[in-house]
Amino acid sequence: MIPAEQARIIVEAELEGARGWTERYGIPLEWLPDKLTLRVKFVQPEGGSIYFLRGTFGEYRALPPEWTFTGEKGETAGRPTDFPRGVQTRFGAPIFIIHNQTAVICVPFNRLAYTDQGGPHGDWGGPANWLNAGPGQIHAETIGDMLQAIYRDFLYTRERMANP
Amino acid sequence: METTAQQETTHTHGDTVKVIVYSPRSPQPKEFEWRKTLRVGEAAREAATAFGYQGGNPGLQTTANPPRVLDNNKTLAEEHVHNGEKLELIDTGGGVQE
Repeated sequence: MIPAEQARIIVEAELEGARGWTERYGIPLEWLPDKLTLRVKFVQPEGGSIYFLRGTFGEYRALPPEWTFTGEKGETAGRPTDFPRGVQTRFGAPIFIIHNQTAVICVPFNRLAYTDQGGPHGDWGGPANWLNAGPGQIHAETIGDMLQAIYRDFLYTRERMANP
Repeated sequence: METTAQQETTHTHGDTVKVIVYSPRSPQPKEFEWRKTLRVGEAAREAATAFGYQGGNPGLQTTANPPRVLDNNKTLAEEHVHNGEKLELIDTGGGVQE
């Protein structure tokens, strides 16, 4: 069990680098310490559609964050209409997928990708193994690395998973 | 190799290129001087180590928006990396099949 205050301190230390990254690419970032929640706005390159990425950091870093796309006010999560449609990239399979009718960012550093959180992966040794899961596949260990990894594949997307 | 301010004033070679590398985990960039014949993947691994990365699949991209991902198997010269260019470390690991 990681106390919320400890998780907040860890996140805020990592945010120093992550903020540098968001500023380089003109990406708005909002940190809500009381909710241990990070909100980031991505804009699709073609068409300019806006997506709201949310990370929540309870138990961080014993467990990975929960990353998902939400509605504009964070009122929904995992809806295909809030997600970009995943496409094959030069790096391989799409990371934005549908599992059991829920949209998921399918990467080892997302707690929601693990079976015990309703995700597809029971083969990664559980979320506590997130730093060692999926060798050779997309890898990120800090918040800045995670944002960049998600944005890397986001830039290949062109439309939403489902129409609003 | 990662360079210092003193090296910067005394060593400039036509067969090398000086670049500034950013990492999403650090607020401060680092400067490197590399042979133009060095492969992008090798340069990325050196930069990643300097920033404290131990695992993963490092690569480099430009800082343009949208960025251009460099080919890890090509040399810096083949990817037209020039003196003073700003690059960003990325992970080039593959997406995950469900």
